[in-house]
Amino acid sequence: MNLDDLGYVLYFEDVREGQELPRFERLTTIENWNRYAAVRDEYVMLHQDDDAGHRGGERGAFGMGNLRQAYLNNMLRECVGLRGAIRKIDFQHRAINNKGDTLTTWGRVTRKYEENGHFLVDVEIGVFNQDGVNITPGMATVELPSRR
Amino acid sequence: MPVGANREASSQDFELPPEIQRLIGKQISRLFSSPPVSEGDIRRWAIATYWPELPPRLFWDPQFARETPFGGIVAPEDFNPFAWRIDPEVWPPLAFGMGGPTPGAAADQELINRWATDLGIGNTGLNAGGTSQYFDRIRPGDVITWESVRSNIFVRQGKVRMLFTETTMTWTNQFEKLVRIEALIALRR
Repeated sequence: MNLDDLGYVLYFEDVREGQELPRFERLTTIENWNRYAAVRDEYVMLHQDDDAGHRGGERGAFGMGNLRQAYLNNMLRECVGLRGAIRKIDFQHRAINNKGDTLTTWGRVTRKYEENGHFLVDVEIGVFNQDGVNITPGMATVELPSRR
Repeated sequence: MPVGANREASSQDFELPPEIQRLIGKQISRLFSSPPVSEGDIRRWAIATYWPELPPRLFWDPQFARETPFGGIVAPEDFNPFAWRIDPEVWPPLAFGMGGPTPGAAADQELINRWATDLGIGNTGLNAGGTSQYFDRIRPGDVITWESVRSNIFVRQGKVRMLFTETTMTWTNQFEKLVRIEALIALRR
């Protein structure tokens, strides 16, 4: 894990447009959601109970959108390491995370640029389920150190 | 599905009546502060968001974290210090800063709820996403203060009619440094 490596540095100069980020993948079940609900005090029945999910028009209990945001941050954070920073993340929850879905975060560098002395990289991001559906498309901006 | 307070109107949007339009930009809560963040809060959050794998040491190993550029444990960017809070009307406000829900905010929300019901919008609430900007990292001992504004309201007709309400929250720490700005959209259908 790059974040456990004090020597790991991703420099702005070493990033290229079109490059894909290493992915973050999780099989999502009540076990993930219970733990996340516990730290957020978010005991919403839609995320806990299949009957509540059905009444909400879904297959059953489903996963929290905020947890997908956390997974996207996990991917970005691992890429930028201890010396980079996530500056902005913009995301839209377009479809439901159903129980048993395997979610895989994805990112691809679209632009790198310097702005007011900061070295920034824009990344197109998404959370894909096992059927290849991007249930949370978005964009992120990270800041990286430069060798200059 | 556009996000952001500066989203341009779409021909698919319903026109807002004046009493609803007037609610855009109004403050919802002001200067509500979290209890001091603990290492345990950060560790639990990291475990939950990385489960079933061990989270990075930065979030739970003080010795390792001291050797990083952060100089100590910091929280993941999406960490929420306001979880498990006591109702601000019950929690002694002077202990962690003044504030709480802005007077009238609950009535404003009820007005929106009634309007949405009159439009035939269902009662299922969902998280539609949003934008988060990250600034100073949150550290153990930090007290985070939030101020929130209702930054946008729009109704769209898709397969069903949907109400989107955007809330923009600004977080600062005890040094009055900016920590986070989040514009999050709640969907009701």
